[in-house]
Amino acid sequence: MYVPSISRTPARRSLAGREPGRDHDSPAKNILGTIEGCIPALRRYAAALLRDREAADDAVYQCLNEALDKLHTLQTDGDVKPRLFAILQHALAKRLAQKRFRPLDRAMPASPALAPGGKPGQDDSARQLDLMRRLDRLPEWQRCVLLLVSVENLTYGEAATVLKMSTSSVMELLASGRERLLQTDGAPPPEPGFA
Amino acid sequence: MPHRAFFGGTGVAIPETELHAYVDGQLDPERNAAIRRYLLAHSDTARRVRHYIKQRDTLQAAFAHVAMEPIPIQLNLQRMLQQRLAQQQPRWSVWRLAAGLVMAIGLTGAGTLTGWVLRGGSGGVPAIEAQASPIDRLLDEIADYHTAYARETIHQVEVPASQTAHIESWLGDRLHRRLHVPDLSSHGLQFAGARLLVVDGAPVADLVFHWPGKEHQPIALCITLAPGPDEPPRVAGREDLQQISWQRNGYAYVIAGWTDPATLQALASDLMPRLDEKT
Repeated sequence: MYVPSISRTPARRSLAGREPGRDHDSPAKNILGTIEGCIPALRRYAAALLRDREAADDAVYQCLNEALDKLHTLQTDGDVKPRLFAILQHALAKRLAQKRFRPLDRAMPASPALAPGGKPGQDDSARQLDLMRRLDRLPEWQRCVLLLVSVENLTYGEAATVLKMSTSSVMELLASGRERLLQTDGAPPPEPGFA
Repeated sequence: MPHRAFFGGTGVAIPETELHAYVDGQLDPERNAAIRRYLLAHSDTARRVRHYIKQRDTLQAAFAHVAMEPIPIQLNLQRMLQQRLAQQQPRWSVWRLAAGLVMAIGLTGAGTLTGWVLRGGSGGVPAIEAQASPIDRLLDEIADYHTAYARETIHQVEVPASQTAHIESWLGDRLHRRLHVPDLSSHGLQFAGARLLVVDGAPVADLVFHWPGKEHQPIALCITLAPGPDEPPRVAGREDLQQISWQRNGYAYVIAGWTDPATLQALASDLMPRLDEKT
């Protein structure tokens, strides 16, 4: 398939400023501080995939322990964030395979007060919950890619590293996952004005 | 795989994947502008793209609250390090003591206690002393020295930092290696100077660093010869003095100071590759 030329320095990065886990400073940066800065995102990803907060934090705990074991290799090469997600992905794999049911709505209510642009209405919560339900019905890899790219802001290359697949596979899964979510969406189309 | 790479059979060569790269802000500026122009002229595609952007924003909002919660105590990195420290360190347990005694008697009987373990202790070493491993003895000695010298003001170091070149050649000579005083300013530490310690008859280079304003809580970086296999970093504590040690390429390294294990881990991670003789 055709693979578009992906920018090496996407515009979003330069606007995003300092993100935890991206090595902007000297290589001798405090590695533990960097890992610590990634914990909220690791918890979010694990919770979104497993829909079980306790199991999610267990997976993050396992991930952090493994990261502490290989502190030295984490320090020496490249960005820490994608490699932490790769360790977490490994910890999640077994739990995902074991998962038989989803205590969805009770375990993970839609965010009540965090829609963009201030006070959310009932509509926003309902839309979030609806989208989460539809996300749950996607195949596992599509969900992983959608969450890593859309929610965790990883580049396609980074998501490919985390999931141990090619960048073009990531892009295909992303496109098919989003299309599937679109097809199952009963909501009216959004207002004009993309950007 | 059954996936549309092109739009709605119109034959226009905007691949689906590139539209998503547009949604995710992962195109270079030139291609980004080209897609924008295309979308202005194709309202159907533009609607789909708006939908994808909305989808992304909704997903972000749906899971945002998890990342804003305080981190639960069991995922506190400091706490995890402390727990690892506690597990690693049954140094004086009854078990170890017993095992050490058996070892020492057996080995002394065979007359094979030589080398680093008993360097300088050729005559009548009590069996109980021989059970401490060389690295444990080194840690104990360094802790004693460090505690004693930390109280000093003028004589805390033997040779001040102003004579770094001399320190490097002098201590490098004693350790039979090239020695560079590492720059630890990224950790806020200033080099104060050095002294030579002797542990079990062997020279130990003691490089002393300060955090400004905390001159009486120095950090020591000690290097000595240690024939034997490489060992990964290990944290050990003696009362409130923390130490981290590792062995690499025939040298033992110890960092000691009154600070938390996490700071020592960070220092060790930083220093390990830099202290190899080759670099």
